[in-house]
Amino acid sequence: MLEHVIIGQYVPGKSFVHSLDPRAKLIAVIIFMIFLFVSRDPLVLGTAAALTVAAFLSAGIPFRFFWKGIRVILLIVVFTFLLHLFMTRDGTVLVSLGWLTIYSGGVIEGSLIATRLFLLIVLATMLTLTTTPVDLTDGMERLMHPLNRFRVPVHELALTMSIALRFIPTLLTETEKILKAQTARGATFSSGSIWKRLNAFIPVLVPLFVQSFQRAEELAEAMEARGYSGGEGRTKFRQLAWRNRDTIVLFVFAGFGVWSVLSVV
Amino acid sequence: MQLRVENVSYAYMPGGPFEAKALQGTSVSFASGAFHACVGHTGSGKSTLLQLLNGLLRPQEGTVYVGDWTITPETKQKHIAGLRRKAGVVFQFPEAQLFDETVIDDVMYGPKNLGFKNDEARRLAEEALARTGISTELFTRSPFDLSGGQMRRAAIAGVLAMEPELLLLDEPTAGLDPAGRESMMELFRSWQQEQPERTIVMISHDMNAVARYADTVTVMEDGKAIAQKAPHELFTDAELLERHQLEMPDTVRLLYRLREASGVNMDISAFDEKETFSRILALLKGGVQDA
Repeated sequence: MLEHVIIGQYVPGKSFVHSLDPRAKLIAVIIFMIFLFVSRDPLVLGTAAALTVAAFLSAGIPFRFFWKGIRVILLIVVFTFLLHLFMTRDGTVLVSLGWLTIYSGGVIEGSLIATRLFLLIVLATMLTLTTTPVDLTDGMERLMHPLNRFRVPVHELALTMSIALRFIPTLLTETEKILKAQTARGATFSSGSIWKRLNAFIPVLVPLFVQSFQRAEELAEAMEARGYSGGEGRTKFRQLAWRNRDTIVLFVFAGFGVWSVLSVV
Repeated sequence: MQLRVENVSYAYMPGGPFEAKALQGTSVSFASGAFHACVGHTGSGKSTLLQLLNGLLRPQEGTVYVGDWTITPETKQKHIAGLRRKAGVVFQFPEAQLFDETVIDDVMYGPKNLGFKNDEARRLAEEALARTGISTELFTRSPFDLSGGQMRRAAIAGVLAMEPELLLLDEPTAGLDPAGRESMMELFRSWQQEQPERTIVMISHDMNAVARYADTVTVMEDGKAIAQKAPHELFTDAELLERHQLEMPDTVRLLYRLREASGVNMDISAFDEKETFSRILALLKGGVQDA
């Protein structure tokens, strides 16, 4: 199951979405994220869905691969839906079974939140699937550059981000390796009481922590050995290039933002 | 323990853009009570084969027979839980599995999982640690305070303490110094020869160790077992080794070069110093007579 998780993974490709400037993609996702939660208009949500589908289709990510990867995350969406379904006490009563009452408001609220969350997850995943971690942090660094004036350590933040993203797959493979090693030593992770099951993970978590710290130290040493010294006066080998298509995409998403605000007013 | 793999295929992340075919319809068998080695390039499917042999992975196609167990794509995890008891695995860099507060507790983890009582598990752990050469005063230390070599030994003790019948080794000597490598290989061989049913399958890139310690050598390439031979057959076949880009053991290479240079037809299958010396001596004596 772990080998299917696609957060932080990059799928190489030459699609339209791949070719966009990471800054454009980042801003687009941020606009999307903010204004998706502004409007309750079904037409606006429909447009958001259309944008997401368009992004998915033009990125050329195989559907099966994507679906397998996102399945686990969908649990959160389902959970949120159920939470709203049972907790909202608005509108007319639809179902009433003993202590369990479902209101029409709950259904509406639940599906609204679930749809928004789902669209957001898909679009955000499109960003990481089509952008290399290096490009992503480059883009982020450039976007946050103005904050430097307020003594925000922008370069260091971007670097931390990129290291974290870079090591998600590594951590997953490592977890799987240790899981296997302890399974081979007779560990069982899927039987017994909850307490027993939690305890069963100690032999996995301890080595994982130990190795993470070791790796952090090694990485720091390797960076120092190559004379790494922060962001000051650092030039870039890879230059970001803003093109017309980036402007167009930004306009489309900005248009979406404006419209969602207008639909509320 | 008798092992047999029949038409087995296995791919990682099947169906995705990162699909990696590890085994492609391969068949191979390993006789009980012997030391088997498995060689081949990175990505040839050796590690996958090893994990199939103890049920950590199930074949996607084909059948794996391990002792009395039969593993097919449909086999349930529950069904092969008993196999874990009989098959110990030493993964690459096994020191990564150490976790407990003391060395002895860590080694007792396996036996306790198998249901042994505390004092029985302790006895097994002490035996295994003594066998791997960890001295008594280290038993109550934290495993993270040990040196790299000692950590490796403690981790291997953790597997041996479970008293497996089949031992699966994935490059057990990688990263050790020459002396450490040799004593570890001696340890595995003496363990294997102690009981008639004990069987070892070892993955290794160290042809010197393979030639000296293995009874059979299986060559893996592109997800298939393409040859299984005795070391003296495989390592003297220069053409076959060349074709599959496998190295000759140092001793064989020395004798091979001497044979090429001298033109004297001699036996080049010698895997330790003594044998090699006697071959060279014989060549020299013969050479003197010729002159």
